[in-house]
Amino acid sequence: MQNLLFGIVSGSMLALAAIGFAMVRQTEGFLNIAHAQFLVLGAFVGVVFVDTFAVNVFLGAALTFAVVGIFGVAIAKLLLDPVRKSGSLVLLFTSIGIAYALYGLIMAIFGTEGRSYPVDFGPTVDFGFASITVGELLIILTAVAAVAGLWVFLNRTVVGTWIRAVASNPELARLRGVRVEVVSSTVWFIATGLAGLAGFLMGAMGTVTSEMGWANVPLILAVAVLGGIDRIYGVMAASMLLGVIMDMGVLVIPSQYVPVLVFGALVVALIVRPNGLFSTSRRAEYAV
Amino acid sequence: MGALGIYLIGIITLIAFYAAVTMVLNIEAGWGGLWDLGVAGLMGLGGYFYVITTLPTDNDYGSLAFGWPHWAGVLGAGLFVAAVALLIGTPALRLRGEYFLITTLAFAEVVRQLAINSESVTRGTVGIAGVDRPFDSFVTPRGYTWVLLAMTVLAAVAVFFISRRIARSPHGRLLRAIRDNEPLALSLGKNVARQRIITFAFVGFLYGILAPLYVWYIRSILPAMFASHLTFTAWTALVIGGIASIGGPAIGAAVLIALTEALQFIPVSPEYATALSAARWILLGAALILVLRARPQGLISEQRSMRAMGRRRDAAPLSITPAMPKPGDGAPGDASGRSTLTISEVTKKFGGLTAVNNVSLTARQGQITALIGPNGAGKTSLFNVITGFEAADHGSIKLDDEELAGLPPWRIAQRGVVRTFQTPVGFPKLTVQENLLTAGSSAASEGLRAGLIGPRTWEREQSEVAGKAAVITAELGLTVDQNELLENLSSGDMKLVEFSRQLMAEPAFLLLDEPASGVNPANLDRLVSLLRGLVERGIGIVVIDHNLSFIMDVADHVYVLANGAVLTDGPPHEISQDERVIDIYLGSRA
Amino acid sequence: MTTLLSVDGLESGYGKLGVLHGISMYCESNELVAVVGPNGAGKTTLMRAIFRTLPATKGTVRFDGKDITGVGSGRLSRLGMALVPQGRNTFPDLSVEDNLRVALTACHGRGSVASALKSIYADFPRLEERRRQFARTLSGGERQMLALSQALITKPTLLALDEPTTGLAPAIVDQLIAGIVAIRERGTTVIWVVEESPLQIVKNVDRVYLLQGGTMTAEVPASDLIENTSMQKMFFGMDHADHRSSATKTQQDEEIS
Repeated sequence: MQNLLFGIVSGSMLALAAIGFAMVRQTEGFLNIAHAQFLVLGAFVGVVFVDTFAVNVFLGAALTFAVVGIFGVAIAKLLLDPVRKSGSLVLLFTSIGIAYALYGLIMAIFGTEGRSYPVDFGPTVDFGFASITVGELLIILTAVAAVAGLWVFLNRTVVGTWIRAVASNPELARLRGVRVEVVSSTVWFIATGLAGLAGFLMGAMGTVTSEMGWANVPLILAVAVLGGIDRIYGVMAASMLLGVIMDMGVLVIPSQYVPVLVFGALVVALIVRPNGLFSTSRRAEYAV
Repeated sequence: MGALGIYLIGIITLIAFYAAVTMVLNIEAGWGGLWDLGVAGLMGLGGYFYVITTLPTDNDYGSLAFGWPHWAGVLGAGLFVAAVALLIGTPALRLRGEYFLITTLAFAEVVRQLAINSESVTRGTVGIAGVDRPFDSFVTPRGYTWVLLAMTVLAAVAVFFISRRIARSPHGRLLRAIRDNEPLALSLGKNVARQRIITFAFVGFLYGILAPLYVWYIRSILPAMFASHLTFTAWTALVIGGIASIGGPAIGAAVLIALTEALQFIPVSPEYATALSAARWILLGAALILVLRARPQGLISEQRSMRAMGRRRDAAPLSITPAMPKPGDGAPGDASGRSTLTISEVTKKFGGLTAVNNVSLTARQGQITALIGPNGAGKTSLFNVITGFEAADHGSIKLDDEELAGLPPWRIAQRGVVRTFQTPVGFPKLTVQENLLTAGSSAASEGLRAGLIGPRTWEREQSEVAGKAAVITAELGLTVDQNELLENLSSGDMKLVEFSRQLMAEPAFLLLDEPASGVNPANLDRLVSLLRGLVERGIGIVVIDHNLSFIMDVADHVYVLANGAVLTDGPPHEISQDERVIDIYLGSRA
Repeated sequence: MTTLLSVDGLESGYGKLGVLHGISMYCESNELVAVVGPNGAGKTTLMRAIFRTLPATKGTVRFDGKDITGVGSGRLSRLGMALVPQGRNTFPDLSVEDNLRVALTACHGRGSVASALKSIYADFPRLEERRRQFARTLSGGERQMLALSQALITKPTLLALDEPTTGLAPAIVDQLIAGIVAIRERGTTVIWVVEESPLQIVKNVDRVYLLQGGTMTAEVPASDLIENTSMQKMFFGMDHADHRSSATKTQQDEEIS
């Protein structure tokens, strides 16, 4: 039961990390391998705010989201937009280049040693069958709030609806006059911002190192694929599932084999259901 | 030889190693079109196999050791990785590009995790240090740098010659054709799935053989050596040097490694040491970004390599003389030696929609049979079913007595039923000549074996095929430079090449998908006489088109499809007067 | 009657394939003009070229006196031009209402969102019933209705419809035709691209352009077409009443050459 809670916590952070990846895939049309580096960036920026500037944790999280988001838009406009016409493969490899450049930059600025924030996780709440610190609870809530906020944004605002329109039928969106550059910038801001936020939370939970990004790339890809590559809700569901499986899996098999199991399962899942586990799930017929 | 000298030799060794790896990557990705991001995983498997099998049994490292001689370990590594590639590749290669990419990445991660977690065997993240190397006992450690350099350079040179040989052979051409246009390759009788697996297993073998070189270079083995950095370095080198070229990969590797290693020579105070080593990653990333932006084809483009290498094959005089290809064999034909293509009660549904509804029709060699009908009547679906690109839900497709339904498209093509595609994209990155030769070449001369053994095995056949191509292009009036890339031709010429190429496959029946579309009305008469000329030589033609006046001019027999079913059929003059046919096109009168 | 849209010598295509060879046509205010042609004639390409989703290699397009040849397609809706493309003309993953909202907000529609929606729903009560449903769950006819409403909600001066009735059941086709005629009655200029059952549709229009193989082969008042068999000739080619069998034809060819 304890493990289930841990699973939910890690699942939430993974979901935050992966949603942005799915959004970019959906509206920009390529796999952004650099996504994970924005996560690392968020973690280090978080350290700077909370550790160096002694900013309140909540404010730090919000600032991290904003800073990484803005940086993400800048990178996208400067480096990715100019090669859009060359196709998704060129975009993919450019994103690999960006990933390395960011990796190196982060290493150069922040060094290779691990850091951590002095975050007080607060008192532990005991449920009898499991316990969780207030801090961890807040992490879950933050993730939930972020996703809820995203939902509201996508479904109840004008730009959010434009984003969904572009994801659904880009040519028609253009024809109907949707300003594609506005959509693009907004998506980049949100996607990279969320990744930064996820990094912030991960950093709060453990240590922050420059290697964090590469370690997360396979996981993010895994949930993205399992969730149906660009179905946001599918990706969320897959993240929670994976988080829970990984943390509960240690009860069943030795912990070192869990990643093997996960990726082995991914390979099998891809072969059996190439479009993802959730891509043809029962979807509601009505928009809420 | 000072420390600097040793260091430089080390860099050259590393360059040679990456050159070799990048060249192998070029074979599978540049020519084969396989977007493999799992190179590190394959190499890791090879590396660990080698170490485990060659460790002396009485060692204090791992629990698993076999004490094999070095050459056995290296060879074994190659075979082992090839076997794994075969195993993983058979299902994975069915996935389309993006998913295959992710699968290979996940696979590499599985390998890495296994290496980290099988501590008793691999010693986990710490790894096994001080690995025994071949010729170790004969030279001093310093001298060994030269030995290693020699071995690595030798390996790189060998890989270079292998890849060049493949590039020049029909096999290399086949790989590039499949990469360019898989359905077209299938329609010409190429067993694409099998070819992909063979390619993947072959490069797996090469990766396995090359992995020990890296182990000797680092003198240890640990999981971090075979992490995604390896894969991305090779890919960056490939992109910089020129993907799908011949010399590009080696040059890219040289440029990239030299660039990143050159940083080590910048004198900095210790506190900037991390920043400096970080700089190599920044440089790697920046190089990739810049090259993709400024010159995505790389330093040496595929076109330049292939042009430099190719020389026009001069046509050998033909000993056999068909002026046009005879209908394919395997079809016994009727009394007059002519075959019949019989489609009976074919039905095809897509979800709730019945695209083809109980359609029966007959086509004979020596005749032009046309299929007309308004848009959405099911004509293209029927074509796809006949040629095996879609499976019929019900019904049979017979070439004389042989049942074709259920066969894969490449087999149906081999039986003699060949189709054209509406947009004659062809194999765009191949030259006109290569397009034609690919269609007419046999599986034997296009195989990997032939590619590796050399011109001896395929030169003669290729000359004959080239001769045939020359005849066909002359008859069809194709006058373009045969060394021109197909994608640079005008659309009219591309259409002519489309015809010529599909004819090279020696069809018994040629299924034409909208041959008149995009054709200048002035040239339609030429097209009509072209087609009539073909059937006079014994080919059977089935044609779909929307240009009804063209159809009426060219066809012997017309089938009219509406809503997926045959409305009526008959000779053209009857059909054009049939009220019901007029009705389905124009709608009922007021 | 002023000329609302005029097209001069328009050429366009896909990559190297030139599809349109110098098209010229025009529409006067409040006209209902049909562009008829067999499959592959270039009708959709023509619409795309006029509405700038495909670049024109030559020629000009003028709307309301202004040269719009260089204008991007997104801006055209704000100028008062709307196209309903042939397929994939809705946002399948959005609800009916969101589909309409997107069209309106992207165009800075005149008037409030609520009132615009209200007037569309008044014309298409079926859509109001299904306002919360995802567009992909609608039937073919309903989707076409939605696509049409998306264009109408921006209150365009010129509405172009690329084969709106193709593939639909006859009862729905009748409804749709009536709806389009009503739209014209209210003052919108309409270009109607037709492939399927042209005879049924030209009854309702003022003028007909015949497009074949990338060129305008004729421009006639609709009344002319219903009378004679020029459309039949256009589709089936001339002189096929006396089409000879291939055997005799070859024989005759040989005699000539």
